[in-house]
Amino acid sequence: MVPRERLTAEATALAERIAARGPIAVRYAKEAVSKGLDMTLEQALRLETDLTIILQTTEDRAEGVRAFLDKRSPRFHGR
Amino acid sequence: MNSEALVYEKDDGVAWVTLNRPDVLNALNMEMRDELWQALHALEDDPDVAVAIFRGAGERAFSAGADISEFGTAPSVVEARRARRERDLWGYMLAIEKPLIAAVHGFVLGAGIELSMCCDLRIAADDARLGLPEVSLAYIPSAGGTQLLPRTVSPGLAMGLILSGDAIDAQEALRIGLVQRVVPRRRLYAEAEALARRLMTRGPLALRHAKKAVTEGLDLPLAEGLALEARLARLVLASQDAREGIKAQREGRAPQFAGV
Repeated sequence: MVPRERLTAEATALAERIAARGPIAVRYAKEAVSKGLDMTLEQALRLETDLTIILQTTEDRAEGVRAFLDKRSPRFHGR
Repeated sequence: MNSEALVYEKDDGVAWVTLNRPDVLNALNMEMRDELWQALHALEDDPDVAVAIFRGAGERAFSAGADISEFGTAPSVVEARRARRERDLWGYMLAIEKPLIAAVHGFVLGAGIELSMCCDLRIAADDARLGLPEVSLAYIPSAGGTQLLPRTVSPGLAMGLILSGDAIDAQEALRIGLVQRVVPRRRLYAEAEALARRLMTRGPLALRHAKKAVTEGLDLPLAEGLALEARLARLVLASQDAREGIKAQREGRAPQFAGV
């Protein structure tokens, strides 16, 4: 909960934080949570694993790991 | 099985599993996963172990997550998927019938918080910081975080934590129900052990079946979940332990449960 006059600023700040994350990862995380809730836990964990493995093929994930190890901010391109 | 990465100890019915790479904030590497796999089998198979407590060595972290220096070392993504399916570490941990307690402090991030959510109960030190930062490195939680967090706290709060990657402190974790208790750092292991010992005074068969009813019931429609509960309750009521529980109460003494 935030004061009314801060509402837009706080929502924008949250949106900007999410926008700075890997865009494909954010989409897949959203898919894992929303689809997984309608599945049994076993099926849902399999979905999470499959999405994780697909993410391993993205340029962004390689950049995320490289940036972390180089101690710099990552530059994601949604690929 | 003790080595540098994980320490497994038994103390009068309680198994202590200590993540032991404090120099790297107990980051989970392959070696630690191998030893965790062995420790989980040991504590589940050992009749002398009633409850297990998971903790992290050192002052700074329960675990800061997966060891990122090992990321991308599998020969191919096909190979990575095969390895995960052949040895389902987190699936095995979630299927353990004995009660598991996580005693967390410092950084509890990524695979660290996920490991704690594979436990049944979580006690946090007041210095704990918990979160799933994966999306900030362009990947997603992959030790069950996207599924266990929405089943532990409200789905809306879980979605917020997973999409933002933001960490929360121990008091916030308590407020949203991610941890059951927050205690001063120096009291963490004493409180975890006291909780373990309290569980050990309950009927072990009842504990196992109660855990099964809750975890399996969550995957079932209500009517089927209630039928599962009724079936497990009948099994427990027919046990020697249930008779001993009633007898001990009538005689005004502490029960002696045999787990059958």
